[in-house]
Amino acid sequence: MSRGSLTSLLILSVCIISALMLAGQYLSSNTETPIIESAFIANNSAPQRYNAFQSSTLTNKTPQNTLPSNKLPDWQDSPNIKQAQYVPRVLTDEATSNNDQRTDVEHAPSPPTTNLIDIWSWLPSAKPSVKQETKSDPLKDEIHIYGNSFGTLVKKFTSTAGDQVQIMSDFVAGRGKHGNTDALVRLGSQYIELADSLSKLTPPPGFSSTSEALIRLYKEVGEASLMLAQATTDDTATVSLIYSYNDVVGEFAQKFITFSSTFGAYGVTFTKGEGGDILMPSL
Amino acid sequence: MAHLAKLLLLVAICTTVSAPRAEAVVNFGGSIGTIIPCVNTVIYTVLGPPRGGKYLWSPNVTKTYPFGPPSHSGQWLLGNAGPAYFCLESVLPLIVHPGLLMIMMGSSQ
Repeated sequence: MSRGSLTSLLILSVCIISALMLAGQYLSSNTETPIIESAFIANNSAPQRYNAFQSSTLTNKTPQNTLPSNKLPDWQDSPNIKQAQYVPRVLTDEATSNNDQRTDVEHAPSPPTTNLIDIWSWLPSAKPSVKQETKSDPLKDEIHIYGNSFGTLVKKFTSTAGDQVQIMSDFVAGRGKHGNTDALVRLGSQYIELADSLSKLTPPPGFSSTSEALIRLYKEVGEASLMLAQATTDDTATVSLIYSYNDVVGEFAQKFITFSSTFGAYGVTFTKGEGGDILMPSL
Repeated sequence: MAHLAKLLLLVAICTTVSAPRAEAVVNFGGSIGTIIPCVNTVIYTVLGPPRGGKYLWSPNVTKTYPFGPPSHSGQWLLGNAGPAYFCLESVLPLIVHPGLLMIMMGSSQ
């Protein structure tokens, strides 16, 4: 097949699709069709509308081109088309020639307008999403608030203290030198202050023992830092102090895991940016 | 002169913002640049961006996810870390590497 034929075929296809879409649009938008022959419209409300139409307009006069209600087709009661309803409509050009009929048409309720096929059904609906309101659990809320308060205090410590790794590096490199331990002593004191601040928070039910243990460990890390600051040039004593310090920090880490796991046990999570996000690893 | 002052101010701000701080607990994540096994059974790692730094993995303490402890350079780690900890690379002579202790850690393979 030549290239020109393909192009022609493509253009023809586009034209056909456009024509179908325009036809569908016309059918779906033309709710007040003036000239429509009698139609079978599948609609749940069609019987009621038809009855209303009959009682309001067709009680005294029946247009010539409409069928009386007692002449409904036999297949109306067929089980396969239970929803189908025979709906007579008036031809307006004939009504124009007959003033009485025109009056009837003008005052008649609009016929059912539901189409048999909604050709736009493939388009995604633009309905706004409805957010389901979930009932808040007071205990969860309390735990969430506590976690955020706890994390905020820890973050505050992070922002006010210096670089902890650098302080330790400087301390190890310059052991025994006058003034070298100041930063380490200050760091230890800040850990103790942090423990004091955390102890002022009221833990929710179920968190008393884990939070107390963790806060105690914060204090012990501070005290171990102060002990470490006493290290001298004696390598053996320094190694002993380092092991003691590591033991305390290791215990702290275990308590921290227990503490953060307790939040998970209650189904409480923290999003990035919240104070409590330090309890959950994320970048 | 004014341009130089502005440049210095910018550098100072950037340095202040990007400087590592003391961490009671901090989230970390990055690929391993340096990895050193220590005599006190911990593993010392230096991580690159996005959240790099010096971190220590401990077999007794760190809660480790399925792919196990840090094993090689280029491996990616993610987790949170606590107070400073010490890696003893050597006792005599005393060679010590401080870093933050990994509390929870997951890794790539």
